Amino acid sequence: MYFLLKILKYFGSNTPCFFTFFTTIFIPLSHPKFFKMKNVLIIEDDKLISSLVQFKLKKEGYSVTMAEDGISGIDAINLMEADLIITDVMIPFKNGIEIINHARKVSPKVPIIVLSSLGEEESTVMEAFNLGVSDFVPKPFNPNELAMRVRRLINN
Amino acid sequence: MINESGLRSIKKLLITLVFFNFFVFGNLVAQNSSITVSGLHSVLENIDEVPGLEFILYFKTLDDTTDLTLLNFSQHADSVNFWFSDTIPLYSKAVELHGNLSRFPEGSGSIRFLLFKREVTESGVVEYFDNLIRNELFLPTDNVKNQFGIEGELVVLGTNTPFRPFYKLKVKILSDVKMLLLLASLSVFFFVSVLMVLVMFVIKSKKRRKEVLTLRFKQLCYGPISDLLFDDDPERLNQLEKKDLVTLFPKGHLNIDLFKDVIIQEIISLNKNMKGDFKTRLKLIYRKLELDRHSIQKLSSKRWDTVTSGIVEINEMDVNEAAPMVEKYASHENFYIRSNAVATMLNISNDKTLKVLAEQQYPLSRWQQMKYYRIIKFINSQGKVQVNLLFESENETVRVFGIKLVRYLGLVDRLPLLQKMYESATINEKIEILKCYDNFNHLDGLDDVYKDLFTKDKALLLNAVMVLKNLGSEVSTLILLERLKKTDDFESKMKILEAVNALNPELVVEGYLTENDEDIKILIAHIKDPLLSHV
Repeated sequence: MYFLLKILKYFGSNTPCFFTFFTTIFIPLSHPKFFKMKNVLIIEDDKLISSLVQFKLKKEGYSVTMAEDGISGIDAINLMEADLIITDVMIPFKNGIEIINHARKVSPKVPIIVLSSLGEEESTVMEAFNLGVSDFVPKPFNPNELAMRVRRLINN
Repeated sequence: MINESGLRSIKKLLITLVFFNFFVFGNLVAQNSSITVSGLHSVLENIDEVPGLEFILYFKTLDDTTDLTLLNFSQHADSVNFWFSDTIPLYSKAVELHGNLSRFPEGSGSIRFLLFKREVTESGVVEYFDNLIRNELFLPTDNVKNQFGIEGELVVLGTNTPFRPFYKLKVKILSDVKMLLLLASLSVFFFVSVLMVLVMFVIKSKKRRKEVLTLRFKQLCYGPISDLLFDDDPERLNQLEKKDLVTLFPKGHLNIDLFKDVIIQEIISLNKNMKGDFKTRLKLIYRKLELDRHSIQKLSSKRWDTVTSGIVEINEMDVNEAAPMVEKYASHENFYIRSNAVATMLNISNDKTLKVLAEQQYPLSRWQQMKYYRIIKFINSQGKVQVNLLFESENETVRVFGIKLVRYLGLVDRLPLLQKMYESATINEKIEILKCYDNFNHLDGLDDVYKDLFTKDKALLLNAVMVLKNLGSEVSTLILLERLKKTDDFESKMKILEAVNALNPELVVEGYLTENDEDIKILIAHIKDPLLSHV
């Protein structure tokens, strides 16, 4: 908004220039699709971790949806248009691999980050990568690092 | 003047007297009826109809012409001289009929008793009466009471009241000692079960309330902890004091023990899942909120689970100043308290001599060894640990664990010390030392291996053979073949032959040609078979 006012002040009362700015820059930028917050879906059964990640990502300007188990995670994938999915491997009712598989079928281009402990079986992690997950963040993790990875994947 | 306790004693005495009087009263109504055979006839004449009891008259005559049909008698089908009447419910009627028979002097009549249509003797009728009266199914009237010889209140009451089978049942039950005992035990059982249900209900509702509160407190924690962790100004947390932090949480909540427990658990959980400066921040939040005091306070609890959770919290949050208090629990009889106290001491005391472990009196389980090893590995990464104290421990499992540490942590410089220990070591220690020799290719220890190659302990023998297989020489093969001749155990033979084969494969073939032992032949065939050699 601050920059917008500066620009308007710069153009001043020069009406043709102002009109050009208004039609070519302001109107396209003000389109809801452009300003729409990026939606991140977190599927994690540990409420504390998911709320912490949610807090961090909201602070970074993302809209965050949380699912506590595999079934609600799959429902969320079906219902919302997530721009990125962060999922744990070991979650109740559905395996993380099943969720990744489903997400790949429903929205093949959405980046997926697997947030899981290193102690989990190597085969599971490899299977996740084979299904096309974009990144793997091992626990214990740094929330700042996770936020950076989210930003990188969403911008790409 | 009678004081309060005296009044209480008198009251107790009165209650006791009333109580006993009640039972004595019950005893008064007990009855004892008896009818004699001789008195039966007079009794029967004075009573009305008795249920189940009937009478019949038999008349035997010598005169074939006698006819009793007028008296409603019937003639027997097989004998014209034998007459019998219909069944008569009243004894007085039967006696009257019997009197009428006196008109027929040619014969003689007799009254017979029928009990439920079957003829019985007089003593049978007496017994039947006794049963009826005892069960209050028959109550005699006033005019016959003396003939029964029954005394007591019950008879007086019974004769004046209509027939009621369970009359005064309550009093009767209370007069019966067995019944009283049964009633007392049933009452106790009932009260105990009601009490248990109540206790269960209270415990369950308390637990449920705790669960609900825990969930609520968790929700209340997320916001403030996230705020503090992701504060834009990292230095701000250092400057904050407890009174500033308290304002972030709902008012008064930080005085509630459960809330403190929940927040500590959340901080510990985050500490496990976070890395980087977040760990430092979490510990700082823990300290600033003075939760360390709460954890230390738990150590003085009488409940073992509370003490254990306090120790775990001290360990996770590195509350170093609590070390002297935790040390007291390092030799506690409770396994969980002891294990966690030792782990905490290893973690926070920063003692590289592992003194707390060396002083352990209880044997170390494999789980404990695994737990301690993880901590010792971390300590070793910051500076070499000294395991010598562990070798001097009086506890064999501690000494064995010390030898294991040499192997796991790669403390090669301790091998000469292990060699010195070998002579006086126990079987378990020897096995671990042999594994160290094998692991570090310690050829100087081969003499020890040869010494124990002829041991009777199978596990030690197999380990010695394993060392020789990897470190042995030409001499070793000859000694192994000597040992082979002296063993009957199949597994030992197999391991020795494998070792010999590894050291000198040709020798095994020679052995095959000369050996008569069937087991050895099979084993050599197995070892030499290229397809089976790895099976």
